[in-house]
Amino acid sequence: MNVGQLSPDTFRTLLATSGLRIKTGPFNLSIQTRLPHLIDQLHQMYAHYALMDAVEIAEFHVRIVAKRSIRRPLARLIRFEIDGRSPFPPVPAEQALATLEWGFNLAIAVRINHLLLFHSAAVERNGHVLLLPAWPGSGKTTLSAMLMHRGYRLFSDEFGLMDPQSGDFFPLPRLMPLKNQSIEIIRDYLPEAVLGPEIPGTLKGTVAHVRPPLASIERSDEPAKARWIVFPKWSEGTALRLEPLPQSEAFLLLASNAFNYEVLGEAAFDAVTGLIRGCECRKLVYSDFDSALKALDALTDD
Amino acid sequence: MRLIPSVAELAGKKFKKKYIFLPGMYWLSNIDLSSLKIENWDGEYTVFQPESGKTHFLNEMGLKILLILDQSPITLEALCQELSEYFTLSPASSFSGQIAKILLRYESLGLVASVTENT
Repeated sequence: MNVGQLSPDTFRTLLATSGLRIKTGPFNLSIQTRLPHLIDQLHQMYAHYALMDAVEIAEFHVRIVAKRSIRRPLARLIRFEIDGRSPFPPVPAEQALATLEWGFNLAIAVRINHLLLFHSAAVERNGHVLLLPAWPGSGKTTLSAMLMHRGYRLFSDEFGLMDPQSGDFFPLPRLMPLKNQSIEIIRDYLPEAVLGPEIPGTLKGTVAHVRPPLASIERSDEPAKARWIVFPKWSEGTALRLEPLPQSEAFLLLASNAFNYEVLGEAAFDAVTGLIRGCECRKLVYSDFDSALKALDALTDD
Repeated sequence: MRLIPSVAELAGKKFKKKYIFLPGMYWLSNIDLSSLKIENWDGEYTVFQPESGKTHFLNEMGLKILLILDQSPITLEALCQELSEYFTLSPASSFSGQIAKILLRYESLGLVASVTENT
């Protein structure tokens, strides 16, 4: 059963009481909140997620609660909690959805060490994963939002989740936070994309989330191995370049922006070595989606 | 030979330079080279050091330094001579300074150590 099949009343009751328990890729998440606007947003944006079976255990328990401030008595603030702890200071209530998503990301990055966590978008085409590792601000979320509406299956816009033993990558299709001018770019290029509300004033400016397509979420229990690693960089007015990247450089870039490379030690070294040896490595500079899509389609064609 | 204080432990660059060029100072490997995991990427190397859990990125000369030091202790001057011959480099005044910097870096990583002759 999916979230979207719950009646609004049942959905609200679950969030307000025992928690809404959903599957997100390899992780199970329990969410509690009583904030009316967040409940409405989640009902739309989380509609495709499957509910957990009653016997399953949730790895993450998060709550978004209203917070009163003596210093700012008129301000409507909220607090993100994970297992009763608050990693962030309170933020305006309008930022509840963005804070929930970032908080869950933080929890994954801090707690998950049985998988190697690359800071990377990941999509799948023709049965293999295309990794798009990049530093924040390189446009990987915008690029993967475009790709997932053009025949690629979304794994994640934030994490490349790799089993260091098998080399399998696991999908984690979650809401994708577009920032600032990327919001209008995606609205124009992908009118079919489902976007959440625009949330101004966050640490990263104005944010609006893209909902992953149903097809990506329904197949989120299907891992795949990587075959291509492309380091993307959006650069205004630049002609498209898709060039080979030396494997040593790819190793350096991939390992240095993994969340837990040093924690996993030798297993991570072996995993990255095997990954790089088995993949074609490229760097992509682009300024428009059409040419980027054409180049990536050619790269990932069978 | 006796061990002298680690160069990396000495504060300030002045001390480092003084000790690098100390007469009778030898450099040697501080690790079991066979314990390292070394991957060759067309002449560049990723090296995993199990003892520290660190990964190092070396070029061919960086790896050659470790290999030479693994054979026997060697002075900076002799090391530079051997590297110059191996890589057929023409003499340059800055070369020994560059190698000295690499040795200091390796020492801070626990890959090499310096000793001096007990005269």
